[in-house]
Amino acid sequence: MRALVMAALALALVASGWAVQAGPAPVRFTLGVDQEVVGLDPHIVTAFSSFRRLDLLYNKLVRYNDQLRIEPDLAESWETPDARTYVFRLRRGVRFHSGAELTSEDVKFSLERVLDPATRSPGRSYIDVIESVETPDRYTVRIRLRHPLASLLSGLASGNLAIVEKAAVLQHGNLQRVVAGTGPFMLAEWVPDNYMRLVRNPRYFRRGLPRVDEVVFRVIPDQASLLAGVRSGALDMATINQGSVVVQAKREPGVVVLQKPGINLRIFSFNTTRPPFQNPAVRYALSFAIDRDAIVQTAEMGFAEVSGPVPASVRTYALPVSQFPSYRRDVARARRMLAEAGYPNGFSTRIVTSPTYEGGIAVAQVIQAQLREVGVLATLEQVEWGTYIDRWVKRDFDTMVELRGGDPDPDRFLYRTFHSTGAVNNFLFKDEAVDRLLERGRVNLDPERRKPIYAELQTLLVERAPALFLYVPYETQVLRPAVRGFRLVGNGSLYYLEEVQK
Amino acid sequence: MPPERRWLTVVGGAVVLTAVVVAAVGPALWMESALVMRTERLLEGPSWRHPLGTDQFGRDLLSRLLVGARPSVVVAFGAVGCATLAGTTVGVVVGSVGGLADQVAMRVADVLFAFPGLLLAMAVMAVVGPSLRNLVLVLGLVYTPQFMRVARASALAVRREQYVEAAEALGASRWRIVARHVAPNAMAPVLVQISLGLSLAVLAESALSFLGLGIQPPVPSWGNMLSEGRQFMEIAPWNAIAPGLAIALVVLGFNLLGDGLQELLDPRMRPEGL
Repeated sequence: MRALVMAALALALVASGWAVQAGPAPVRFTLGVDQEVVGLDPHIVTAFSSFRRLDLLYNKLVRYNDQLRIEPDLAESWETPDARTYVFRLRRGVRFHSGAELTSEDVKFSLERVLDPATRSPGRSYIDVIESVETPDRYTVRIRLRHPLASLLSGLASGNLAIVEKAAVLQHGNLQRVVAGTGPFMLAEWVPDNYMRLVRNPRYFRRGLPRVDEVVFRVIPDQASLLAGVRSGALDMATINQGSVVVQAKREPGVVVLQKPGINLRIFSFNTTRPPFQNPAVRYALSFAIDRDAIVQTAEMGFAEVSGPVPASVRTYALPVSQFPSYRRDVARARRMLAEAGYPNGFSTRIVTSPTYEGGIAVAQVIQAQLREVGVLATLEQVEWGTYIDRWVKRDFDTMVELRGGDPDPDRFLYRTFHSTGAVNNFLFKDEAVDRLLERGRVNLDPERRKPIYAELQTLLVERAPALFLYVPYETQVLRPAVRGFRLVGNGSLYYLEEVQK
Repeated sequence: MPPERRWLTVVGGAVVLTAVVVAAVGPALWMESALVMRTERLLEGPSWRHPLGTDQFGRDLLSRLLVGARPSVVVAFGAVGCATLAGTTVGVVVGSVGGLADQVAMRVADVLFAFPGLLLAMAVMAVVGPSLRNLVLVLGLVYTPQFMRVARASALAVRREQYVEAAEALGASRWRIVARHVAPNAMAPVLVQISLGLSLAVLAESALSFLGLGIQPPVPSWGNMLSEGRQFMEIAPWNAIAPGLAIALVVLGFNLLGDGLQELLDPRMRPEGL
């Protein structure tokens, strides 16, 4: 009898709680990530981890879809009356988290803020061909360029080109700690090195989205713990980049593994001003000396795709690697080429690497072992991240294992990397034929005319070998089976979390 | 010493001896190469061909473990050897002569003591760069003050012994007294410190190699093997267990030996009252 009364009482309590809350508990989606972010100002940040948060807080004029094609974001449509003019029509009624309406003024302000050298935006080099930004009316933005640039839309789709609220920047100075975006979620709470809680933006312009009420980012530095979190249900999704943990995840019935070749490219770089690497023949010989499949199997546990200079995931432009003769390992040929170049007994060199990005040291070890077979004795220089960056900036290395952030547009990645004036050409690589092709590729707006240019360029880059191109690592997310609606974009972005359901 | 303690000391001694022998002839004990990568044999479990399995690169773990014994043992004995030589010499001398030299030496030791040993070693290694020789010298430096203190304390006690006073009365020179009377009689605690220092040095070498500041790949050391194997703990646990056990066992060996020596050499712990 007493038990019955208690049960009734409990039921009544639950019922009243229900009534007071007026609706079900908020649906919370918890995401495990391995790195905390230093700041949130989209025009200033550089870290991959920051962009993953900004994906949910801000929008850009355009974005990449999961086929890596440009699609509308804040711009509803655009046209190019001539090769040096872009006219964007903005969606109407888009509101910032503050409630203010997005107008062409905000777009102009955002682009000019990125272009202003004082902002020190990494996005500046993506769009510095912009001569002027005009706002003919509230919902139209006209951009004039100094010269045609085929990769302009790709640049505008970069996380650094998020559109911010002008009034908020004027009020706060910068946006490292505050959010002034139009994104599907709004910043609610941030406890650094612990978690960040975002809540649904009820005025989001994509109707019916987002589908969950809250997204919580939890910082868990250890990869195995991230997987454990998904297994136990504490996390709904986690970003995994360690091969051994992916293997483990695939063996577990209670988790779903989503994978796709990413856009970042692992390369083995040469300082082309240091002997013997000033000689392109030596560099190309080493291309025959290494076995890229073996590197993928060991260092990435198979979770990567062998790639040429254009990331293999960019199917529109990337040549199949079967078209590069040096991608079939040929030790005898490598030795012969080295002998012809004046190194019949090989030489000694050093490989700079850092443990910070997964797999870097493993790649260096495999390359070291493979080079030994052609008589090249390489010593590993394992350095911590600060030293690594410093040596990169000073070009103080013989060879280096790197992970480069690629791009779906070949111009954006290749020009800044391999043009003799490129911003991140730390190979100090100078080649007139390469420069010429890069310059031709960027001014042609027609993809069909660009393809043969970049095909020729890829073959040339593999032969001149400022770096040995290795592979693109897979992007991996581990999810609980109940999660629906998430898609991998393929460039690391998480904005499809706006469609996720659980 | 009770029989079971004696037995443990012998076990400790045997483990240490084994480690030394393996370090000396290790690679000859197993015909597989420690460096050859075999992509068709990645992360294989233990088998006849690879009794401890293979690593991420398909390299034979047994041969890596055997080859990896060398840096552990060389660094341990080398570092403790340096520390003993430097620390004991300075300690005995300043303990015997006292005065300003003593003050200066002890303050320097205090400064070195102010940093946790491993942190100091990491900082210095980061500056001088990783190599076997640097490991020996840096760990030698880090352990020197311990030997200085032990030797000095012991020398202070010995200096007041009657036979030292007798030697002084007979007109022996200060240096003769230090060398012939103080030093030999102050050695017992130093011996114990050596065996404890060895176990610490094995751990320190492993820790530094684990952090990438010690032995550089592809040369195996137990520390870097543990560091590489750690990420495969769930899918290929033998990668981390083998070097982990080896480190634990050798450290235990040095400790057992040290405890035994301490009992043998410390009169206060000798119940028979020799």
